[in-house]
This record gives sequence, C-alpha cells and structure tokens, in this order.
Amino acid sequence: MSDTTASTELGDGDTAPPPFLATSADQTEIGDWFALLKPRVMSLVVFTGAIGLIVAPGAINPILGFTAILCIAVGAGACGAINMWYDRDIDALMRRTRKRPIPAGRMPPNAALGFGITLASASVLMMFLAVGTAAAVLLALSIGFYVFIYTMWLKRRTPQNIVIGGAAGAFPAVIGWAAVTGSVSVVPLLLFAIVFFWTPPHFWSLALYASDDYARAGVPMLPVTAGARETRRQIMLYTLVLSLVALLPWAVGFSGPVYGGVALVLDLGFIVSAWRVLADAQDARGVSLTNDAPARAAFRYSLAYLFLLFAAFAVDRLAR
Amino acid sequence: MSAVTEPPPPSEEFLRRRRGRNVALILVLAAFSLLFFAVSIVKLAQHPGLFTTSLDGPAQH
Repeated sequence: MSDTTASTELGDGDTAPPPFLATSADQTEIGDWFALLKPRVMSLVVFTGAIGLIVAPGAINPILGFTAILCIAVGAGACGAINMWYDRDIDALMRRTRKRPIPAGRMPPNAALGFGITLASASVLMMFLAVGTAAAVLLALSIGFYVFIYTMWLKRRTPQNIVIGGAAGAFPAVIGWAAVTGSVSVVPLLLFAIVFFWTPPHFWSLALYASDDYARAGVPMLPVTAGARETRRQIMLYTLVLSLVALLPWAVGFSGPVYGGVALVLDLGFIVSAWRVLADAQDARGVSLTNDAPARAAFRYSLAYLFLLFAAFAVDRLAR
Repeated sequence: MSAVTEPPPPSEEFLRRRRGRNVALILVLAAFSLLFFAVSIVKLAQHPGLFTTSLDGPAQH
C-alpha cells in the first residue's frame, strides 16, 4: 500500500496549477472517487497480497480469502485517498499529479479525507471480523505506516523517504500470509524484504525523469538532493542487493529450481537495466542526454520484474 | 421583508452526476451486504456451535 509503487501519469505543458479547490462534492465524478484509490498502485498491492495468501501453508475458505484480498485492496485505496488529501499542495505543483481530483478542483479535500478514513476503518474492521486478528493488525499497521510515517513524516523531510517508506508497500504479502496462517514466519518476511529492496531502484528510476517535478514541489527525492549521478549509483547498489535478496528463498530452500531459475534471469535483466541507467550519456552535472531513456526502461522493467518474480514464487510453491 | 426566491433548477449535468453517484453507492452497499452475508454463513459453518443458546435445549452428545 504504497505510493512507492509509483504511478506515471504525466500532464502536458508547464502551466501553473489551477488555484481553485472544490468546496462541494457535487462536481465530483464517480471516476474521481476511483482515482483517489490509486488503482495502478492497488493492482500491485493486490497481486503481492494474493501471492502471500496463495503460498502460505494451510487453506482458507475462498470467500474469506477473497475478503482478505478485498480488505488489502481497500486499505491500499484508503492510503491513496489520505495521501492525496495530505499532499494536495505539492500535487498541484507537479505535472505528474496535478490532474488528480483535488488539485484539479473536482473534489473538496475533506471529502477525500473522509473517504480515506472510512475505507481504512472499514477494511481493518472487516479483516478482523472475517479473517482474523493478525491480518487485521498488520493491515492497520501498514495503513498507519504509510499515512503517518511515509506521507506525513518522511516524504517531505528526507531523501530516504522511499527507502524507509518502502516498508509500507512490502506489507501486503505478509498480510496475505497471515490471513491464512494467523501468524508471520520467515517466508513472508523474505517476500517483504524483496519488495522493500525493490522499491528504491523502482522509484528512483521514475524520480530521475521526474526530478524537475519534485524540485518544484520541494520534495527531497534523491535526484533533487544528491543529484542524478548519485541516484544512478544508488539504483545500481540497491539492484545488486535486491538481486541477492531475491535469490534467498531458493538459497535457503523455501522454493525450488523453478523460482531459482526465474529469479536468476530476472536479476540479470535488472542488473543490466541498472547498468544502462548508470552508463547513460550525461553532461558534467549528470543530466541525461537521452531524456533518461534508460531510467524509463528500468522503471518499466522493475514492474515486470516484481510481477514475474512473485508469480514464479507462487508457481514453484504450488508445484512442490 | 425580503422576497423569497426559488432556487434555480438543478442542471442536467448536476442531475447526471448525482444519479451516477447514487447508483454507485447502492451497488457498493449491495455488494458489501452480500459479502457480509457470505462471510457470516462461512463463519457459522466453521463454528456450528457459535450461536447455540440454552433455548436450543441440552447439547446432543
């Protein structure tokens, strides 16, 4: 449940954002309420949550399993809505986000906040009633971490915002696992670690080509505070760490050769992508001369990487 | 004493949005009710003795 699974909508032009904020939800379309949930981020959260649930030992009634995934999705959506409420000032300054419902003047901020709080409460309560205490507590923790730790505390204060904040996006696999087992063990923690170390290279790839946006909004993303050259180096470092972490489930025997082989191939692809980012043609200040084409490619690759890696993990576990 | 003026009639656009919102809300509520019902049935099936009371008579062994 994380903004750290970045969306990439880019507006056109560089004109100033509309100063108007809606005062009534009468102008709000159904699509705007849906957009508050950050559906693209939600899709990855649902996927990792579902994998956590599928690979967990034991069984869960399909209706309860569906409810668990739904609660994870709604909880992630709630995080998106509260994040858009809190970040409405900087969203209005960034091309990537200024067409969102609040900065575009189609939705009053308090409506988004109320929507987010309602969904967050409903998802945790439903998880508790239908699935169990452990999953509900983890869901509440992940929502709290995303809203209070990432959005309100880290995002505007430190270039490590998405490193630490990445933990919020790593929770769903653990929640899915806990929904079945009622507890947490080493396997879901490995899945957590994979998403955690995947987040920095994924998000910094985007930040490289959206750094003007972040600078304008005063968000201390790594390319803004440390420069593009250092960001490329960090992408490479985190990709190497991720590559090792991704092999751990196979190395310690929690998964078989199917996962091991897929992880190895995907790792090599990610390392090549990160290397291309590092070796991108750049001027003396580190500004890309290729319009950050390698960073854009690395961003797309990172999305495919996580989907395929988790899918391979599930296939491997089910086949054993 | 000021004259009472009629509010302007709502525009077609306003009515369209409100209709869409109402339909979406009823669909969400219906889906939520259905889900809650299904979860209740599953829970009852998993714990058959959950709602047994003294009015049901002595437990059968």
